[in-house]
Amino acid sequence: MSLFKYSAPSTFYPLAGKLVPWFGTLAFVLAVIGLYLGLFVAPEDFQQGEVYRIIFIHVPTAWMAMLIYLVMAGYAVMALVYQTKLSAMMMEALAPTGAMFTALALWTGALWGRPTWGTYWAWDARMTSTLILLFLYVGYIALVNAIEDKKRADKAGALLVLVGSINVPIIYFSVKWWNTLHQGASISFSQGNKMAVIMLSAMLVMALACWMYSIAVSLCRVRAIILERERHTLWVRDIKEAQS
Amino acid sequence: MSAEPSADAELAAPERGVWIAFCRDLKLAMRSKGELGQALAFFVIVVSLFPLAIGPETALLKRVAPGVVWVCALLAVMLTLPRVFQSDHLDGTLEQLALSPYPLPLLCAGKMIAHWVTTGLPLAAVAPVLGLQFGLDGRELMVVVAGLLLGTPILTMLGAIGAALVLGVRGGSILMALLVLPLYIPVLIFGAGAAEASMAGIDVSANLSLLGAMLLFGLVTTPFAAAAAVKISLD
Amino acid sequence: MNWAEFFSMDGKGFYVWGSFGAFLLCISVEIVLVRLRIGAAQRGVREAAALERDSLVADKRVDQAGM
Repeated sequence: MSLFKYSAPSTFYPLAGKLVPWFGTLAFVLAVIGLYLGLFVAPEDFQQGEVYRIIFIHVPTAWMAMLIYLVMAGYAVMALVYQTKLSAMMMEALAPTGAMFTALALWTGALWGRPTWGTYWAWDARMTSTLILLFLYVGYIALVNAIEDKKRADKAGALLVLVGSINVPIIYFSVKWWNTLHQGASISFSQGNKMAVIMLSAMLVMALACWMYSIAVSLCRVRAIILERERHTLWVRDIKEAQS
Repeated sequence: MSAEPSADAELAAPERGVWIAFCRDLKLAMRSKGELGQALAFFVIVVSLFPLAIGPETALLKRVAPGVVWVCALLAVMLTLPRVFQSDHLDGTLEQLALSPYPLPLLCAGKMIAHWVTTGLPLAAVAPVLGLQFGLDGRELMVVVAGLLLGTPILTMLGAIGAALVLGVRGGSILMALLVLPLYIPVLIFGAGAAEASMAGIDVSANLSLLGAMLLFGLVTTPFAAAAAVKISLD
Repeated sequence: MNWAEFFSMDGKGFYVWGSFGAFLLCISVEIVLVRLRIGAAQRGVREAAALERDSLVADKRVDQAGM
């Protein structure tokens, strides 16, 4: 299959370079539309007034936090089973963006919680699981940075992500259990029963924007990683950035 | 070599790998009894710090007892985890183990069992005494011990994977803690939850069965993950 | 469109703009950091290439001198 020719860093590097502007522009356009829909078109919420608009950031970032970890897990499988360097590099490129979205989800969740339920942090199941997800991201980044041998770092990181992703459903289930036992603030989305279509669309558009953004940034970051790692190979000498 | 075929066959039976690794690690651990005592001492001391920090009010202490005992047990197990692979790694034995005819997952399983016998089991044995200090009664203490007996093996198994991943890495122990503690959270929730349920008078079987399920799942998966981690670290 | 009302968001402007602002800030910072990283990587490649060229030239000189 012709796609496999892109599994080598030397061919993927220029491809990624061409793709970054497309995804970046797409992300920007979608974000503008999403923010417009969320801030200007969507009506005021019946119960929460204007402050509910935070969900247009909070929910997409939370979705991305989970999605990116899942994608990392996919790359982890490829890195361990097919031993492809590029899979491990993509995993490494995604992690900081995933961690950023997780932190943003926590931050916006806290800022939403305070005016709505009176407290910045309520230890509900979703937010607590998101916090644990942040720990998983930070652990991965720490591990990969601590191991100097890149081949070992790739495989160790991949194994960690796999073990982590198997544990994520267990962790989420246990935290939900814990939360119902302790009758914490029941943070159920008041719009849960019937969210206005316009609100849902704005959320989806923002989620798509974040997704396109993640692809653009991680493709850019993986180019940097490729250059860092392949510095001494022949093909790198020939690219135009190497000509001084 | 003139060994009889049956003796050879017995030697090479892969399941013996578990027993061999278990016996070896247990013997080695027994030689440095001081180390074993330290984990226990740590557990007792840190548990005792809590009343000193939050005051001797009995109702409050009873309320926090399950959580405190569990968190301290978790930390004590984690402190002893490097022992599973590190000394073997330092003197080259680990490479020999990886190359031996016995499947590495089974050798890892044996090591995990030995670690639990020398760490988790003593902790579970000592926990009732500490629980009494916090005012727990007989039935509640039994639930704490049952939870620890089911949960500490899981802590050992998950921790061994983390320990194997950071072999030879600078700052490995604290990094291992970072990696392993999030994975410990479900065990903590169900273990402490069982004790709290018994304090509230509700059914503990749900929490304990979930722990049991996680234990079974861990028994069949973690040896392979640990072996994979060891192989990755040895390359 | 009452801009004053829009910015105050029912008096909860701090929370709303704190969220949207953090979002934009994090994304901008990440973009800047990635561009810095790729610039440094490209510099590293140029330096490695220059070093190799220099060592090749030095080798040639040594060969010629040795001859």
